[in-house]
Amino acid sequence: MKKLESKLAAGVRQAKKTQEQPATAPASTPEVAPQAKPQSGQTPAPIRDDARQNLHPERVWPD
Amino acid sequence: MPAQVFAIANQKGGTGKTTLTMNLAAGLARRGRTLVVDADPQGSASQWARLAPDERAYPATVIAVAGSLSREIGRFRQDYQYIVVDCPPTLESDAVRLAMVAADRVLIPVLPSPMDLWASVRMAKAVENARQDNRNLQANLILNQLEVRNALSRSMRQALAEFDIPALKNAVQRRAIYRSAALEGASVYDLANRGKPAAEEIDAIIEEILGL
Ligand SMILES: Nc1ncnc2c1ncn2[C@@H]1O[C@H](COP(=O)(O)OP(=O)(O)OP(=O)(O)O)[C@@H](O)[C@H]1O
Ligand SMILES: [Mg+2]
Repeated sequence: MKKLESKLAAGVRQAKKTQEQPATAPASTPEVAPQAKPQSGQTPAPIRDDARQNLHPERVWPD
Repeated sequence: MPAQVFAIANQKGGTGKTTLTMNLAAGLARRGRTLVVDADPQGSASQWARLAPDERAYPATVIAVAGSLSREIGRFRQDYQYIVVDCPPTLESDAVRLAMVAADRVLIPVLPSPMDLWASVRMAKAVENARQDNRNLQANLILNQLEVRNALSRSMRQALAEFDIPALKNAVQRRAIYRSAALEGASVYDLANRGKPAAEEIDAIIEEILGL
């Protein structure tokens, strides 16, 4: 029971963190975003975004 | 007194927005003139009301609004005591934002499953954004399809506390009667003894939100 609660809560915190990331990172540093190295200790950013930018090299996401 | 406007929203599909809208509005209609605004192009709320037989019409007026939600809500504010807006499961269209800008309170139904809970984080952000244009917007999460005997279901309360949006004390349990009600174009209030436990929990939710 306690374990379930903390797992659920941890997921919420994780979701909050993931949400903050795309909003700030690519907007402030659009050019370096695709090559940007993940900060140490963090899980690497998903490659999904790179694929998009390859398809639309002009486009900065989110616009 | 202008109407109190409730928006029922969650960008996640199938969390119970329409079910909550229709039963909440039926309960509110017992307290004052109530309007349902169907802001979802799927038209589920409108369809629900159309399924009601002539001898037992759905107790609130239901209108479908595609475009200027704020103008329509504004227009009806003086004529009704309560307005409940059933929102589409998206944050990409303007509808949800407009509904939240026009509302006094947004209720966010959340299912007791990890994915649904975590996806609601986006909704919390959307509420925050809507508050830029509607400073007084109140918001509550509400647990839907709660299974009292299920450990995960019970653990949800604790996890809901991680949100900046407070959860309602009262929840909606998972009950077959909510599904049959939709099929009959009814609310749980219309289903006599079969609907009684459900009607009681909807009443408890109404008392809670009207008392907040
Ligand atoms: N408390 C409940 N107990 C049992 N079944 C429920 C309950 N709440 C909703 N349901 C069922 O779950 C399904 C989804 O509910 P509903 O259509 O209200 O969700 P929704 O959020 O409006 O969906 P959408 O995002 O597609 O608009 C329906 O089949 C409905 O009957
Ligand atoms: Mg719906």
